[in-house]
Amino acid sequence: MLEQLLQAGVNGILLGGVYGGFAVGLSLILGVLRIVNIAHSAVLIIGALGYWQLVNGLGLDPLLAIVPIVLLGYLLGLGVQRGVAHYLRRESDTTVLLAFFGLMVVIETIAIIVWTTDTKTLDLHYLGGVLDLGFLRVPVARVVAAGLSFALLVALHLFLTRTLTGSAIRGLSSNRDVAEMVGIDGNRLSRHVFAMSIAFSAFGGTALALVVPFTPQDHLRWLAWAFLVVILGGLGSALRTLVAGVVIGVVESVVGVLLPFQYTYLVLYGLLAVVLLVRNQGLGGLKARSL
Amino acid sequence: MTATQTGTTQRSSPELRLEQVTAGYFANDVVLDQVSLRVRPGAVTAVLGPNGSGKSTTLRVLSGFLAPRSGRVLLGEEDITALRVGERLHRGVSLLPQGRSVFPELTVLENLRLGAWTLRHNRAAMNGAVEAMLERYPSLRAFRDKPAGSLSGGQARLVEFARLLITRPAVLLIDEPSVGLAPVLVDEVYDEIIRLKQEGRTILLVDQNVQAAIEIADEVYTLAYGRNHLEGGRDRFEGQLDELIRGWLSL
Amino acid sequence: MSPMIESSALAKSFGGVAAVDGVSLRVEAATIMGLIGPNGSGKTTTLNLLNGAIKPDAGEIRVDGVSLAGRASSAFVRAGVARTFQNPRTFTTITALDNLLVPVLHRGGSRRRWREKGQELLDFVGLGAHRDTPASELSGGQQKLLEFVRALMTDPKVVLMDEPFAGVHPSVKEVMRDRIQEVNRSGTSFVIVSHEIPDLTRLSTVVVCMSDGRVIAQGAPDHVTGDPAVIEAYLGHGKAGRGERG
Repeated sequence: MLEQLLQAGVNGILLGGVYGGFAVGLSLILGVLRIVNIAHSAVLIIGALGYWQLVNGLGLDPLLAIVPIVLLGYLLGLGVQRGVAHYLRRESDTTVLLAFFGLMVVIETIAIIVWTTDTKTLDLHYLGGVLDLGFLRVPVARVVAAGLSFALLVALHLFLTRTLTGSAIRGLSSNRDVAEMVGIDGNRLSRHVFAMSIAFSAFGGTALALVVPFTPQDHLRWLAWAFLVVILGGLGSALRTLVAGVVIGVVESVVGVLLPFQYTYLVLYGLLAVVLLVRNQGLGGLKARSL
Repeated sequence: MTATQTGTTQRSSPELRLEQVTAGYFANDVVLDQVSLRVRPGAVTAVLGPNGSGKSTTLRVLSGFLAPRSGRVLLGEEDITALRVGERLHRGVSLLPQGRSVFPELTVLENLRLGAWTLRHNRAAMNGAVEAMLERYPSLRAFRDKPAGSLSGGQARLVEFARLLITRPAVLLIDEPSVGLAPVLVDEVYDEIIRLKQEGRTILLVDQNVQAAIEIADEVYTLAYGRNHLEGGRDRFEGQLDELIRGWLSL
Repeated sequence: MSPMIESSALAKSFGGVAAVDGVSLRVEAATIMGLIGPNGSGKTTTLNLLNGAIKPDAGEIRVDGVSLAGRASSAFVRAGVARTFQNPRTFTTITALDNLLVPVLHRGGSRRRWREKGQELLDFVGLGAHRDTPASELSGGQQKLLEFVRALMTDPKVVLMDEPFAGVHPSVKEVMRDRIQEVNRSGTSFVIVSHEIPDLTRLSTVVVCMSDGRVIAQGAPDHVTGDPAVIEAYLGHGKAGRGERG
């Protein structure tokens, strides 16, 4: 039993790292730009599918193939921001939400047309196999995905807290007028934060692909999971997103060992309810508003 | 104390002018109606008026937050009407807004560094500017790593002044500096404004604290219902403040 | 006859700062009370206390003799206190007429009669033709008028108004002023916060001036605006014998 729990615990931490990794894009866009990016999971899936295409289709190295996906995500983000988001600036929150919902549907549909609804499993190449430590067995790919997610989250945290641009982003999200007042170009910075967030979401897709098989329709489940991490972790901190992801991962895995699997969701959402009640401020008292 | 340490401007300050500015926020409202004023260097120009007279809007137009419908904003000889906030800051026009304007989640040091954002391409200059502010306001050192949101009103105001001055702007736009501060701190704030004037800067002060503003002003403009009302040197107004207020209460 | 609304020794602090510091007011029936004072004097906080939007730290509030301090704002509304805001809070996505129906949704009575009443009130302020216009399409001044008559739907005993004249076209101001007087003549009291002092003093039967959270003068309008304490409050505090001025 102890061994099972240990296994579940480690699994949970690793999975949790991945959860943090794919939620951080949402946390960034919601926290800094106050945009409820409902298309977040659609980007996740496109990232996963693109990654799958590169690795399975073109035979690229699974580690190297992550890079073009993330870069493409950034460019996609810049494109969407300029093309769509900019026009939504003056619209009401409902319109923005609907627009992103529309974007989600478009992306999902394209994904299904191009890649069909068949389940995709990533060809792990040299990342296949399992690390056998005797009392513990973990898939190598999962360790890699978790490792990359942890690294990314820590890097983001350092970027936001230790660099001037990071401070500018935090200042911008805190008080836009004052940020403009000290000479920060709010529009330009917002554009890059948006793109960063999409890039992170794309990365999340690759981490996902490394860990589970997936189909385009899965994305809504991942959206719910991402929101769960973001709500639990609160906004404004990459580290808290990481911790929230790990907590969820561990709870999910450990509960799965101790109780029938149907209880997992119950426990997780119960945990969420408790945290929200105790914290008493929901998403940090946040009101989603237009760009 | 060297010039850099006191934060004096390197060049002589320009004059700032509003020329026949009409401005409003929504489609049809007219908050400022053909307002003109002249803010001279090395002096404090106060803009006074009852609530709703357009004082804050005047500052929004001067700082670049509100584009006028007609009229011009001139800095020296240059027409800066079309320039946005950041561009005006580059030209040395800096605003101290009303109320709390620190970034609460950021530390005092981060607040200062962001104040020097326009210097970011020259790290040495930026670090020098931050250090100069810590020299000017030594008590800031003690709470440089504290989140600005945890500071008291007076401490936050100090940070705001430091951030205002960090780029060594020649022109200062100050909006209601005494609102919300304890009387002792109010005195310190106005003393600091006098010091800034003595350093040769061009200062526009918008204030509802008529008494305190008149005491340090050289030139006074009053606005009423968005239009120019009275103007003149301080001596014209001193001793007639009662009348002035009475006038506002029965305009 | 008890006053429409009265407070005694009302106090409220925010973060250690006393915004309202022992305010006692009596608003009699059919009175228009103008509330003036410099920025930060506590006028809006007082209004918020009087309609139950915030709870006082100390003091009493009575509406027509009934003590209501500490109760939720819905209790104040039921007791006959209505409120308008500086930035009109109309329901922007529904029509003007529907806006007026919102405060009476929970009340019984025929829907048709409420709609008729709503139409009457819209006509009362010249918005009759805009019955089916979404409130968001009305101008700022029209929204303020809409908010005003929405407050009247429940036949309140006292209407609290925060800057009803701010930022509106003079013609709207005139309509607002005239209608307030008309409603006042039928017995409703008003407490109006405004910085447009000349307009307010012409309209009010009694004026109260606040400064630093306290009432420093109250009485007839001309008397209050000429009161030295009031002049001094608006002057602000200077510093005697400040050092060299340069």
